[in-house]
Amino acid sequence: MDTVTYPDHHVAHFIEEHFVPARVRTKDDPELLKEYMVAWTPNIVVTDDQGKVHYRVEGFLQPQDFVAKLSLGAGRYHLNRQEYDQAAERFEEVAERHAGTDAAAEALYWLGVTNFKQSHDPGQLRPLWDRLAEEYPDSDWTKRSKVPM
Amino acid sequence: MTAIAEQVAWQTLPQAKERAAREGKPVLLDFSAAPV
Repeated sequence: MDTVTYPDHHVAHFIEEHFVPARVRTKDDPELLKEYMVAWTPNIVVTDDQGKVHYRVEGFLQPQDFVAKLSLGAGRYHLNRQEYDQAAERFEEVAERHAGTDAAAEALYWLGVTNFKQSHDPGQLRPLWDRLAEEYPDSDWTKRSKVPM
Repeated sequence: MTAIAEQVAWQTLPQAKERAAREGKPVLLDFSAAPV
């Protein structure tokens, strides 16, 4: 991550715009590994100011893929805080800019959820999940959207 | 932390939590630098 992903200026800019970045020296504080359930690195955790975990990115990712995952993480953070406009902004960005990727499929799933949570209208959910099934028929996120009736 | 990683302005976790509360942003907590 330090040789490829973090030095990428798009990654650095995205982090500075959407996050407060913290790095822990695990040798100095091994209790944090237990607290955040870190068994392997790279391991990037999206938390709030109380330390509650909202998203996790595990394993090495190339810069573009990492930005997509971080944007999903920011979206989940805002969704959990019922900040729906900010959440939708993040998910829409991933769905459009990273079209064709696993991250975009995940973004469409959560964009549907966000729209439903905001409006309480199932009609705001179904078009997004229909688009998910059409564009990403083999995605795990499409399978998750198939709710038995 | 290596010199090449300094494009990202890493903070300590307590500093980051305080700033996150102030700015309404999530904390990106990175464990990748240290071997487990």
